[in-house]
Amino acid sequence: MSYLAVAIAGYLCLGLEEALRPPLMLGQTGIAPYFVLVLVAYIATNASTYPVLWTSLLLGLAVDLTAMRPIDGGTAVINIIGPNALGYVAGAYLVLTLRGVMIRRNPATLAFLTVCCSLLAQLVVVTLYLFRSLFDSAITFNAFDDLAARAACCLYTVASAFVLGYLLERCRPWFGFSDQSVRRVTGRR
Amino acid sequence: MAMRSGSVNTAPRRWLMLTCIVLVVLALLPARWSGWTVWFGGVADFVIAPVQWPMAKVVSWLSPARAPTTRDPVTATLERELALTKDAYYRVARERDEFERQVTALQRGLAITGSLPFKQLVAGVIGTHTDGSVLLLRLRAGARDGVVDGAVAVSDSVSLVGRVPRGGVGDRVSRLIPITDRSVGAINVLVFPGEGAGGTSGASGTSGFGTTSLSVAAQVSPTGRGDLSGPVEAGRYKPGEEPLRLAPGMVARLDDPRWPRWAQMLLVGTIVRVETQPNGRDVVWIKPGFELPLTDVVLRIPDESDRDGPPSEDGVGSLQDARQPAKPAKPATTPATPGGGRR
Repeated sequence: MSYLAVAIAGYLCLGLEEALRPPLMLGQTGIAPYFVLVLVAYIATNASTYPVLWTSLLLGLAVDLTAMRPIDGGTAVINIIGPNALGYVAGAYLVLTLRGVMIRRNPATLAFLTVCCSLLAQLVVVTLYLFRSLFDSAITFNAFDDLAARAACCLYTVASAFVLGYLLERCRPWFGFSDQSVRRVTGRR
Repeated sequence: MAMRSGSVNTAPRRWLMLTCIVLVVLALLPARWSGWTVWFGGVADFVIAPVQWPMAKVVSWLSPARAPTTRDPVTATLERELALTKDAYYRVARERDEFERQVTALQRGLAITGSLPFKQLVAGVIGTHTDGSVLLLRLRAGARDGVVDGAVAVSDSVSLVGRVPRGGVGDRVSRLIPITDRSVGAINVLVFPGEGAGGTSGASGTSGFGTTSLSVAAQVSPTGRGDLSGPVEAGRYKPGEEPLRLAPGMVARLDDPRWPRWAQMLLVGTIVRVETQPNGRDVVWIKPGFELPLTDVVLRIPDESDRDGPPSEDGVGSLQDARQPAKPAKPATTPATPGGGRR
């Protein structure tokens, strides 16, 4: 796997995440598709285990660092490092587990795996926020509303997975994935 | 040989596990110990902003923000002037009312500072962070452009968009929490009669301006669907005046001591629905005066002398100050390069 290509793709997806989400938002609800998670699912579908887990962790960390969270009634913001990084690792691990039984070249495969990956990732994020809210009242957090909104975002991500998946597949040679590594990892399971 | 091929290198797994444990600890670190993370967030902003800005420009070109209803530039200018004048009028009226109250209550003259110096800065919106629960706008203006914590963003001259929170100002970019984000919580607003389509002129109302002796307060919170709703609180009446009934079309203005005083009396939005609950209390729904996505906002930045002071209890200011901002960093009417063009 070419780490340079993954870094560039991750950088562009992070840019897309905030630039493209407002016009794609459903009304004023804040529900919009994820882009970085599509890349995580794409890499997890094609690369070997540890590079996938480390890449997803770093991409999640980048999302944590760019996503500030309001505290104290919106009068201040902080970066909470960890929830997305751990969520993305969990999501990528799920894709690693599922990819052996999927037809990888089918466009619908990436969409399906992206939804699975993002749902698990967001579940981990919400769980961590929930634990946090038990002893830290600075953050306004409603677990049910938060999970519902994130789940809606995950389902909406299907649309971006088809489009982004097509573009990523066109750039496949740049990523330098080797089919042998995928078969070897899958075969070991 | 068989031993060598069967041995598994566990170092990557161990490092990954260790990293995950550290991340769990960081994820659960209380907010009061997480202030240092903002610095890393600033670095990430600095790295990510160059790619966001061209993407935001392309997106705004492909999907332009909703055009204003009035196309005629002269009418648009007059409407903007009227909106600014109304904004200043209500602040002055509040100052007068507060002055009367203080004189009556204390029987002595009090020095009302009244001055409301702020400068204005046009800042382009280059990104919106939303994960379904949190909504934060990223502005292409930071500490280098003079943005400070507590700066208030407006759209269409007087429509309140949100404020720049503590820790939200980077060197070149800053964050803005819109009033429609649920973390903002409850906001106190005032509704005056005679303002907006649904209003009727009060007994002492002036043409186009609502009377300020009569008002109704409400405490509204973001619903998460882009609007605000909440119960109607007490009304303020003078003897002989009829209580004001809220109706769709009336406009609500900010009157909240938790917000900076340079934000008081800004337009929060228009009442779109009023419902009477079984317990007899009215609940209002307010549609904000702005609509996402925004291409740019105007930041009201307090002057240095005003920054460290607590939010005003009276929320007043002078007409002259509001209409003639002290040394604006960039005229709000000529947003040639959002963010002050200093990048």
